[in-house]
Amino acid sequence: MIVMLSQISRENQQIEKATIDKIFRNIDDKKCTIFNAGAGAGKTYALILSLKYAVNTYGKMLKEHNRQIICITYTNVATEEIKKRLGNTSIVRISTIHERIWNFIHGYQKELVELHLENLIKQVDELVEQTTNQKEFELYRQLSNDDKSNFFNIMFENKDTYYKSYNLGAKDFKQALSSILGVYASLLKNVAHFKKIVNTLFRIGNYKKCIQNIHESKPGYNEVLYNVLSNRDQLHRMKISHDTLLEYGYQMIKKYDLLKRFLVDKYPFMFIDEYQDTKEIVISVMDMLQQFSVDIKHPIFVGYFGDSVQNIYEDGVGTNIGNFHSGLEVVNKEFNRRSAQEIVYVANKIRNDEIVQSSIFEDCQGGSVEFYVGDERDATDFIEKNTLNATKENPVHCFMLTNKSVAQFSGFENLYLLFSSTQYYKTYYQQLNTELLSDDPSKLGEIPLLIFRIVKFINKVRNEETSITDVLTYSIYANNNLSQVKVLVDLLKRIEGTTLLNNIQSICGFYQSEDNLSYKKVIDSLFDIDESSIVDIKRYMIQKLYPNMTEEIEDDARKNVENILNLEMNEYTRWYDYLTGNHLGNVVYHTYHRTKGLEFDNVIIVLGNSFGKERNYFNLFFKNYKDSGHLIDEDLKKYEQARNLLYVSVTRAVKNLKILYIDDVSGFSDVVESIFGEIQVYSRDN
Amino acid sequence: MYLKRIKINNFRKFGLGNNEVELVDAQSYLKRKEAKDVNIASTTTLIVGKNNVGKTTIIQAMNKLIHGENINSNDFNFFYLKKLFSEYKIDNYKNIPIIEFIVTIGLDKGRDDYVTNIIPFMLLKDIDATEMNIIVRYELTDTELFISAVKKIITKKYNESVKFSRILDVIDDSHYTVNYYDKNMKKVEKFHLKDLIDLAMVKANNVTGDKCLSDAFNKIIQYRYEELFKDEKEALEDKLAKINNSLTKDIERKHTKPINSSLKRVVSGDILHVLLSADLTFQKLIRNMVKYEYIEKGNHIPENQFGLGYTNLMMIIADLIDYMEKYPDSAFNSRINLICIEEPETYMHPQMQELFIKYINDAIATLLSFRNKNINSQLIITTHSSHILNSKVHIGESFNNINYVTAKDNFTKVIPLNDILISPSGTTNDKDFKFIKKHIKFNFSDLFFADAAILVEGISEYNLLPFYLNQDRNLKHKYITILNINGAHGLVYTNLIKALKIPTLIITDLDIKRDDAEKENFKQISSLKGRTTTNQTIKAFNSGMDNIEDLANYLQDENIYVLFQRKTGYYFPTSFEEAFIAKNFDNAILNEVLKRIKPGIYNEILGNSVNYQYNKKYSYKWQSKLSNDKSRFSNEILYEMMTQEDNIPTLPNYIEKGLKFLSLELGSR
Repeated sequence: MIVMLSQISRENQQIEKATIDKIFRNIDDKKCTIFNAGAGAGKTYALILSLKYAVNTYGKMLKEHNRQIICITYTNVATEEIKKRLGNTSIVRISTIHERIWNFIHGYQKELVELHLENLIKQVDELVEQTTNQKEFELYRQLSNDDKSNFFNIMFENKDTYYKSYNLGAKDFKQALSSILGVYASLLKNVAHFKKIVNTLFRIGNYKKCIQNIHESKPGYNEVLYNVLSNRDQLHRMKISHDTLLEYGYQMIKKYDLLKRFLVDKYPFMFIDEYQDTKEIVISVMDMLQQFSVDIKHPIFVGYFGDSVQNIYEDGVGTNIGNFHSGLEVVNKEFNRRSAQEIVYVANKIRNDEIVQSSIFEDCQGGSVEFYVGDERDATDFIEKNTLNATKENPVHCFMLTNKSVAQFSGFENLYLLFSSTQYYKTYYQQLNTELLSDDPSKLGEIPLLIFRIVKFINKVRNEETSITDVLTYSIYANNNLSQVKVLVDLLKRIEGTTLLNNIQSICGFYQSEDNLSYKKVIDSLFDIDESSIVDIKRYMIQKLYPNMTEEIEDDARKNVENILNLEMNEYTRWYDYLTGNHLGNVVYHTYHRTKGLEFDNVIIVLGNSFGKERNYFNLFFKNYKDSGHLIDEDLKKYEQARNLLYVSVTRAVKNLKILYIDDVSGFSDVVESIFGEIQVYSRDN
Repeated sequence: MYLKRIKINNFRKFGLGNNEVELVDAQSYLKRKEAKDVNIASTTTLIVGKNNVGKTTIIQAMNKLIHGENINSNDFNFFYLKKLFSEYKIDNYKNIPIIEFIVTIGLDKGRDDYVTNIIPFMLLKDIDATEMNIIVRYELTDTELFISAVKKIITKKYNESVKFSRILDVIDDSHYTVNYYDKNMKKVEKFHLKDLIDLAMVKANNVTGDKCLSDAFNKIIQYRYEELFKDEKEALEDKLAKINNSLTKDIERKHTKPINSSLKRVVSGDILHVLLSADLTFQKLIRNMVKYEYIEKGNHIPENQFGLGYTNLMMIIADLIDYMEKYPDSAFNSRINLICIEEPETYMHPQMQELFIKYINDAIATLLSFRNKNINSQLIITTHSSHILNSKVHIGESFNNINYVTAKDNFTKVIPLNDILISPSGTTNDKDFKFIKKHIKFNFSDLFFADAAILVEGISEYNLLPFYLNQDRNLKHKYITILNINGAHGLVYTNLIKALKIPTLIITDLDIKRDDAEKENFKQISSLKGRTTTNQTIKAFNSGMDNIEDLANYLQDENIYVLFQRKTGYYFPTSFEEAFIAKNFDNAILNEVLKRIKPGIYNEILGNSVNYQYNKKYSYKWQSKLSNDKSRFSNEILYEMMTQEDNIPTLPNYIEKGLKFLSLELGSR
């Protein structure tokens, strides 16, 4: 049987309409609402309808008073999708939370700079605190105050030598610096400690300088900038990135009633998509605004659209939303608009709460769910055998248990392994998932983002269909004539190399050899580090990937960074294609997280006990499934995380779902069978 | 950098085809750029066509486009809207009304213009391109508001025309936004066409009063003082202050005191004083500074005694000077400057129209050499003057950059002309084409402004046809130009006529080849078996064959109908006169005229009988005998027809058939 998913009975239509009408009424009554919709319930559909309702009912009035409706999405991809489905509009402002918050506050630079100043002072205090109690600073602490400042001055004057020597081995590093340091050479005893001291002192110096510049109102120090394309603050350059932006936004709105007043008057309707993965601080902002609007008797409407069970990011508010925004009215929707009935059944079982979905369609039968048990070595064979009929037009999507296997199947395993073996990602293993594999560049880690920018740039430059403005900013091409632009573009087209390093060498080579100011500007903004040179890139990478350098690991660190740079460009391009969703094959591989919000006809999930660093993850879910009520604290949290992730994964499937479990299920086979039906043993020989 | 082409989709009478205006081609642009002397004629765009076909709409479209004005329902093509609305269903509003323009910018090889404004539309591969498209769309600012308003109308049971006008109201209430896209339909933000293109409208018909010329020049002089001669202006103001000072003293001494003492006597006490002072200012001075006179043979003739035409021309030039003066000095351009002159021919006598482009060219050349400015300007002239058209062809030595505008089935059609299209051989250096360029001014430029054309190959047709056209119920309201092409040289115009797409008749002669004996005996021919023709036109339209055995009743090639004599009674007449006589053999007027000019022959043919059948039987003889008196023959016939009311001879059948074709073609408009 073919799953059609096309016929909706009159009765179901009316039930669905009643749910939607409930939201409409709440919009009219300015009753803040949580719309809880299980996976595939048509959450986006309901969001669009609600937006349209608000536009149609209040649009003319809003336009007249120059007021607007806000819609906040989780990713830029979602922003585009909603814009597309809503059509042209001047009434609804759709964006990610960061863009919105920046839009809220960027006009109040005087107040922002004040806030920034406070933050700088706080940062300096914290760093100074470190120098007084952390063990790396032991030798430094023994210096007299005069010596401390002498030492700082010497290092500051020899900044260049310090940075140039930064990547050298411990012995050479000491040699390079000891003559400069004179009496302070003893501080070099432990190179790693020494670097930590100097880096911290430099930061303190930078921040203090910045504080001074702000006080003196030097040019460039009278405004705070938000750097969309970077994940790191450059506080001393007055640049902030995503997290600090949210923090500043929160502080500003909290502090200034006039700003609150302006915002509630300007934006009487606010819609937040995927609330469960929205940061708590954002919900607090909404709560503040709504409370304020009630106080001044201009109530606003805030609508949260999402599903707490689909909360898969740890910094998302999830079920705790009530703690941050109270008095929300809950509207549940229990129809499923996405999947065949067989899949909806499995999803309900996993979810196992008060929301029990049924398909809205009459013709919802004909899907399939198959559960196999095998072992790790079966995965390749299982995928191969089950994707024989896949085509580029009708691909099979495989959700892989580990980032490593996604990387391996997608053709960038080396890249993945090298990054995961760095000190930083060994420590923050959990971050690797987003910082190396997120489809949203703003969520990438600092070094992956730097490389992403470079790879993207090279890919763009090599594609003749790229818009010139995609590689050159206005300030570069403004007031140039065509011949000048042509010289620049031709130069960019000459960048080449088989490895990433070769390419960067090529870029830096032209930087040295060609006397072209525009080219230098392009490259400076591409690298966005102090100097556009290979040495600086390497130093930056070592600094970030090995934040706590010790002499023992120095050689490894340098070698690893070299290896990262020496990878084939093709591998980076495959990584880039993966991140940008440019799927070229019949089989597309995903991490579980990456599939959020998407849907696919045919899904294969490779499942097992462990997930990430957790050895016992999904097996704990199955084991506790029947009696999860007794779980508390960490155990409950883990249980919910596993459930949410499994729920999100399973509900991506529209028609056919195949699961391969690569560990023993005998301890909880009854639960598996109750959820997925018959367990089949997979054997490679068949 | 120059404006090369503009395509207008669904704007007013423009539909989706024949809607591209070619402004300047690359070749002309280069020619002008590389030339030593300023010659803007080659890059001047001419938009020609008769009244009410959409010439002004083109200018209005550009004006709206460049100045980003809002649009309303009247700006949409109604046929387009009708079709669109008819597709609307309760839950389907897929296509919402938009107006689209595609602006093509030419990039020259010199490439020394700033491209800041065009870069956002370029892809990497376009770095060597010679032209770039900018797609401009007027799109609804709030789609959803439009759809919900339309939905309300659709659900009501209005009849179609009420529905239509209600939706038009919705469009008028909606706000439109101008959006720009590159060729891959990627939206380009933060761009405004006016950053790239500047459009100045020079008003023709701007003669508003006796002193308008002086006013115009005063304005320019004032501007020049304020912007270019600041020091001199200051010095002048100092002088004025001194003059004011001494004048005021003088006034006070000579006038203020006596006046005040007189006042004192009338109005008692010290309550009222007057204070009189000189108040010359720079502005006041300049306003009356220049007197504009024309020097003719040493006599100064004041402005208000010039003819309107001359004043009009001078006003246009004054506007141009004003425009040029205000344009900043720079070695580079980042904009394209369009100067638009609409129908400048008003009030100008033909000779002045003929020289108009030369005047403008000389004026601009002088201005440029004087100020050493690099002005990236393009001139666009709309006109319905054949003289201005002639002068463009003549001075520019080309048909390039001429856009012929016409209307068909309620749609405006733009036909961009160029030399290759019009040249008989498809190349620009053959003799026939040189001939056209020179010859066109002998009435042939009428083709551009006519509803239809009739090309005749003899004086009789040329003399008599206007009379018959004036009698025709359908055709008498149309402008039909009749051109006499003696011999076959009319054939060189075939490509031009095809390009203009106006219905055209070529009325030619069957010219059956007769041997000497047949000529001698005035042999009447009753069968075409084995016959050939000597007529080059028939040959050309008959696939080059002179065999006329199976010749069709008429020949057609696109919009051209070739007509010639067919069998009348027993015989084939081979000329207009012969066919005319055969058709009207018993007509009193005809017989009277024949008798009057050729009494001897008339006698020979008819003898004493009144059997007019002989006229038919000896039609060929008549033709031969009349061959030197065709002009007289037709003039006499015309005279009689004009002065008598009844018994008007009728046209030969082949011509009547031709006029029927014309009626049909023109009726469909």
